[in-house]
Amino acid sequence: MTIHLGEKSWKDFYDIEPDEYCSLLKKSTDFPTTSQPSPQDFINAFAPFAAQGEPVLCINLSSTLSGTYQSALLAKNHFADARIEVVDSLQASMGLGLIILLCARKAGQGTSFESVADFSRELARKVQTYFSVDSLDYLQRGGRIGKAQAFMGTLMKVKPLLHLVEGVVQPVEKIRTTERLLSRFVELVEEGADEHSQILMSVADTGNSEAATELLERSKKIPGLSLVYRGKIGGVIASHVGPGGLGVSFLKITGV
Amino acid sequence: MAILYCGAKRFKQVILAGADWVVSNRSHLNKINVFPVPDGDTGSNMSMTLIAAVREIEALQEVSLETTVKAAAWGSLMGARGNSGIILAQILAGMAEGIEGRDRLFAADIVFAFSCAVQKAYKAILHPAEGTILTVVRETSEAAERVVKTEQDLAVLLDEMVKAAGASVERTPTLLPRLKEAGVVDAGGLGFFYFLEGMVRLIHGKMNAGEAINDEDILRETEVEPTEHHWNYRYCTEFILKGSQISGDAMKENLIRMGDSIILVGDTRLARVHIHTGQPDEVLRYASSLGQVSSIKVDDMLVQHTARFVNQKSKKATSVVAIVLGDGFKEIFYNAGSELVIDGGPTQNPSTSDIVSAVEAVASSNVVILPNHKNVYPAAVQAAGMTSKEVRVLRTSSPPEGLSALLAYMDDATFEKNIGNMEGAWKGVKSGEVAQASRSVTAGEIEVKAGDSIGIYKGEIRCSSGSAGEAVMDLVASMLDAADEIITLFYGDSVGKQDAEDLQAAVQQRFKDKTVELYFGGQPYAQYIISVE
Repeated sequence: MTIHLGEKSWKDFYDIEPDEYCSLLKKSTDFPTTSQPSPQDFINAFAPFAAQGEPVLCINLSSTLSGTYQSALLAKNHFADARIEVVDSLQASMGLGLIILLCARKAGQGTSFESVADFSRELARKVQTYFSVDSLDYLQRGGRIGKAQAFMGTLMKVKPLLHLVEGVVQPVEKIRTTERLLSRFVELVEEGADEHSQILMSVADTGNSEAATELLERSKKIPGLSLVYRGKIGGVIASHVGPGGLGVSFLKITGV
Repeated sequence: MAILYCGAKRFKQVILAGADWVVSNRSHLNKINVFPVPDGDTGSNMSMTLIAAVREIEALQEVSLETTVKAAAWGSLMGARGNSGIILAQILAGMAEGIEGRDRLFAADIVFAFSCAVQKAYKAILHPAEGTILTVVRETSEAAERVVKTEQDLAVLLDEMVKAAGASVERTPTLLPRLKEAGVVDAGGLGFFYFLEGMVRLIHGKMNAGEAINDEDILRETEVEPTEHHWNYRYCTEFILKGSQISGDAMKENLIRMGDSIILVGDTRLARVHIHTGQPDEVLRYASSLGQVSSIKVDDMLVQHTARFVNQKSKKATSVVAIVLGDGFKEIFYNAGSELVIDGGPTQNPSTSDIVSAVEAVASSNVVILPNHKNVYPAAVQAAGMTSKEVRVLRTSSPPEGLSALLAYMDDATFEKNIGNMEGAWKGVKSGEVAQASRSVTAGEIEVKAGDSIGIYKGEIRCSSGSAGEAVMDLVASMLDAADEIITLFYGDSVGKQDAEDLQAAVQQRFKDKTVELYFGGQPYAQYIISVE
């Protein structure tokens, strides 16, 4: 996917590192835009696998946030005989990352293509993402503010805590301090969990690595935590979240 | 027997009877309310306005014609709610002007008073629309002018006026397409008709003082179809502005850029403003630049509308009532989601009944009360026991504590969840205040001279200084821990904005690794309220 800021454009992750992009974004007076891959981009990506008869599992950024999923579906139709599964993750950034990571692990264990595809759809329903932003302006201007619109225009300066629910941004709480923000993140992840639970989580930020490190540190006490992944929110999502963002995605399996 | 004139006593009864009749019919008026915005509260608004007028009349020590009508005008102006309420207040104000100096009213006086009322009402509205209460009042007044040429009996005159008002109401759908689409008459106009009809009913002995009216009997059931409305200006915003040199014209010109349905009434010292806007905060900010803003009421008409027409279940799960002093704080509390904010704090305790009425008035049957001062807490607890609603009083003992609780509130979360989140939120904030000492005192090692600024934290005097700024600085230093992130200063109504901003800069300069924020609190009792979190 491509990011455009002012006169410049980059391919996310390939041409520019997330942290570098965030510091540019912070200084810039321009407002960034992003563009989805075209169906042709997907066709190019699918083609070599299709040619060799290898199945492709393509897990995408939530269709409510981006047209990527649409592009992938169109590309899929181009290959009538190939085994291509296009999945709507309902997630973004590390939520999507966590799904892909877990699916890749499963595929690596020799699980059948069909089961991995089913697994990815199940994860799309189960992975949860909470995140905070320094200002709602980026979500607002990028048109992804969803129901967090309700938090716009707050006179007191706040860091809104938000929840991505089926790809739609929902407001959770207006928070003032990083301290409370971090403790709320931990509360949300550990809610209902005990030592028999299994929690897989990832933490990512947009130019807010100090808070991300602190959050990881505090997460260690969450019972049942079995995997923690630290990532960076890429430039595309950062363009819609703004600098100073912090996010947690997790899969929680409890009380089976 | 002809009634040729009306004295103070009868005038008072007639006004009360009119008001009573409007109150009795309010649910019908709510139901047919589609213009200017279909938010279903015209009946309630007109009732509240008239009830405020009646209260003022009943509080009169000396009942004369002039004091009565002035009380009605004043009371309705202060208590006016909604478009129609404000127009009604203007009508009463116009009548008061027309009646000035009389001790009894003859037919011609009434006709003259009405014509004054019409003028005043039209003047108050920026874009008067026909087919509304304005048309009904005007046509009624015109009819009265015709009748009075041949008829001096007040009973006959009023009968004819009611007839004219009724006919005028019936014509409103022909003047205003939106009414026609919805198949209703104008609610405000009909409210005015009820006001007159109530008077006539009294004169004809159909209504005695205190007669109970069952509004189910008289309701003409009308199902109103929702009509299309553009919701750019979705916030119905009202407030009172006190100033020294309020220029109505300049204000109108500025307000017109921020919204519509603008009504501006009052004089150069006191104005009541009503506007439908997309940015209530911007309007309030602008107004605060002109003077002191109070009695702020911001309704989201989209929420009111959808609550009525779209989804009856979309009601709030929890409502918040906050008690606080200071216009700035009131604005901040409203903005942060408090549904009602009552005046109250160390220097002014709200009555239990004030709190009960507020709890009864909010939308949800689950209510959280934020008392924000230890003196207010007992009244809040008492109020909680006096209503059938489910009420929880949080023990917030300062406005910043209340605000922290309020920021954690979500109007669609369950009551229990809200209470948990709100309780968890306010305990993390420390708050203190800097106020002027009223007398000399020695507190431990601190010598306080009367007039000094003292810093109070956890109920103790922590510092004292001849300068408020120095007291703030010392108090912040004594409150602050290394882990704290934000220092917030709320300046009171005795502090100038520039002084407050200078102090903010100085505090930021001294505590470089903290964020220092400054807001106008407007509290009368403390120069600064400070929170550290």
